[in-house]
Amino acid sequence: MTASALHISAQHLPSQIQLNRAGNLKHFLTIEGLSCDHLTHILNVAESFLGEGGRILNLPLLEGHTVMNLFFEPSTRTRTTFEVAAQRLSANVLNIDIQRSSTSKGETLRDTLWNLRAMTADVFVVRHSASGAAHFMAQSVCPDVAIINAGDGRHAHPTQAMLDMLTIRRHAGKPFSELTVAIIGDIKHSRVARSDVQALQTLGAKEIRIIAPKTLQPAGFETFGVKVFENMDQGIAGCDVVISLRIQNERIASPLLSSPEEFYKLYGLTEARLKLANPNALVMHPGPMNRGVEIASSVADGNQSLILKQVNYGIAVRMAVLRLAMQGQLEERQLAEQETLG
Amino acid sequence: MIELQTLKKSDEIIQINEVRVLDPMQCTDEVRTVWLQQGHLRGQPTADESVSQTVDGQGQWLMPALVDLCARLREPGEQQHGTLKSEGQAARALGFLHLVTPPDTKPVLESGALLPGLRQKAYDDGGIYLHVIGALTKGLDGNQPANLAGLKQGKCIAVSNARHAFANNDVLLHTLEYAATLGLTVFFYPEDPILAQDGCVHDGFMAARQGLAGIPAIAETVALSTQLQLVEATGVRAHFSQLSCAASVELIAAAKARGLPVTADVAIHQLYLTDASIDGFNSAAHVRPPLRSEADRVGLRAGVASGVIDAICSHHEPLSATAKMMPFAETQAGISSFDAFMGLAVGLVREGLLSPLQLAGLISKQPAMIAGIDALWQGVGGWALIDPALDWVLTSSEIRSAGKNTPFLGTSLTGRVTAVFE
Repeated sequence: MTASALHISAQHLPSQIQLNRAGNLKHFLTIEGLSCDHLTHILNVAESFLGEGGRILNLPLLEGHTVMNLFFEPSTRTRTTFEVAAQRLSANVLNIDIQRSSTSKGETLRDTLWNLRAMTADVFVVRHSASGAAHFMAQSVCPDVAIINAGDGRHAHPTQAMLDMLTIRRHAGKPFSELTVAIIGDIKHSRVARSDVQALQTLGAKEIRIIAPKTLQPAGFETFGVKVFENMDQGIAGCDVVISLRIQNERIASPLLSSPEEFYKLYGLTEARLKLANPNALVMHPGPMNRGVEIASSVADGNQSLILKQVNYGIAVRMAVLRLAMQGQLEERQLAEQETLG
Repeated sequence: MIELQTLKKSDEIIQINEVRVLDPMQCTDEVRTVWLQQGHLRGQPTADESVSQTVDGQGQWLMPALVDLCARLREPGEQQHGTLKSEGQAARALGFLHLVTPPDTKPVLESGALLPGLRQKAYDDGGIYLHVIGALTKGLDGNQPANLAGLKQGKCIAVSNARHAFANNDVLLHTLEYAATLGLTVFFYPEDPILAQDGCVHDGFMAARQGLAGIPAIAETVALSTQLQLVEATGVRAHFSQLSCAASVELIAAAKARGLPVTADVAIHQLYLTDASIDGFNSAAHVRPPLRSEADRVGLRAGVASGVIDAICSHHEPLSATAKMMPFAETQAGISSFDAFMGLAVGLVREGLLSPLQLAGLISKQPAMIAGIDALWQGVGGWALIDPALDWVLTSSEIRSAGKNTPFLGTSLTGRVTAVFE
């Protein structure tokens, strides 16, 4: 047996799929495999769309292009911000009600996408319940349409991670290399946690902590280069940023947790616990929140909370990603043509 | 044992010069010139007889026809993935003349009356001897024993619930008692359905990184422990197929040490691949039981070397391209294994894990004995010529199976079946 059989999947690595031959984004599937320069560029472009006081600018950078929002899972916040982002860039925006589409008549995902592509789609914004769905589309179905992952199963939510990073960069008052960040709650089932950890690592955060009971920790997560805490008080002590995650109802009605009350008692982000973090630590949450389960109302609405800022920055980040991926696709076509001619 | 109306075999005499003959029945491993006729070794032809073909066997191995303890040929019911013809012919060309197939076809193989026709079709279409494992419970629903006496009469070689769950341990206990009463061997594919839940990959670092639901190793070992205790309680003869965990090897070793009538096999890909192969949502590596950790792979190899594991199977599961063209968790599990099998098997010898004779035993004699088909296997004969030094690349066009779903696609392999004599 040669060594090659043990390294069979190099062709599947996400970094090789989402970058064009010049090394720029042509899809945005995951944070994994992107460099610090890539992430910093996304943040810089996002900043350029923010005017004074966080006002979002209008720029016709996607004029004449069609962005299709394909949400196979329900979403309000993410879908709306993508829609607003595409409109701010003057794109034609279509929201496809996928629940009522042909997929419910047995058409395969591949056929659905091919049909939509034939309707001159330039960008697909995709949310899907299966981990790797966006990756599958970019690799095997529509490599020439920019695929933006708006959340796939438990795998990744890269635009959420980038808006979290933009929030931290704008408000922490010090560079990532000096920040200790804690992520609290259901790490096991969270695509946000995975993408946040990868983004923080890529941007060089000093220390990343996850705080969760054993039942909500993914297997082998300590090998991700994070510090794992089961005790909330110990985990939050000395943190500069605290990211609380949503506990989904179906997790509570399972052997993973006993009750919302007990979870709040052990892992709820309360004012008392927040005092254990560094003074003026940033409080973040990807939403939607369960007040009184993972976070106290007084903390969610308190002056350390940046939760609504996150939503606002989400539009700028999504504008940046739409713009960059579309640009990357056009660049790829140009380079491919040059290669063919040359 | 089987009532197949076999095709008339050629009377031609084939001479193979200076070939390394690996005969696990005689426990011999020697280089010599041999003559084959009607699938059997025979003495030197007399002056009245003529050799119709002479083959240079230098550097090659000659081993008995291979016996595979798990191959899904997809017929009946899922011919979009493969047929008795496509998979039978592929198997035959690759040295497998005897294939054992589980009962989870569509419809389920639970009627003894239908088995002779299926075997005959496998022989007529594919040229292979098909050996059927009958359903242990009706419709594999895990509630009530199937008509095991009828299945026995239809000459099933064993019974099993495939990967389907039992309603509870009481049902399992009584179906095992019933199988023991009828003297039937039970094949197990141990996996606790509750612990496995909606998992699709090994519950480890790769599952966590890719956000895929995991099947923990304990899903296999908990089921295996329970099944071993029930085997001990009922005295039924049991075979545990496609082990995937190092801890399972230890449980089997302990059971054998206690004298339980148990045997075990492992799929060839489990001896090479780990869950690292699923990186980038590589659905070609989506298989059940899942590819596990490096420690498990090493433990399974140790089990093969020590003899705790009695046989190596292909666990061949061909799938159409469409079945793998979906997001990872939604793709169908399965690896098309026939074509890479010998290249991988020979690798175990080259890496020093096994002697060539031990390998021959693990893929022919021992599985034949586990399946209880050793008399037929010896009776019909058949030998495979293998070039253990032949370098080749597994490309899609090289794959004889209808299923091109293998994580080894594009891999360089050394060792290949070059001819089959029967």
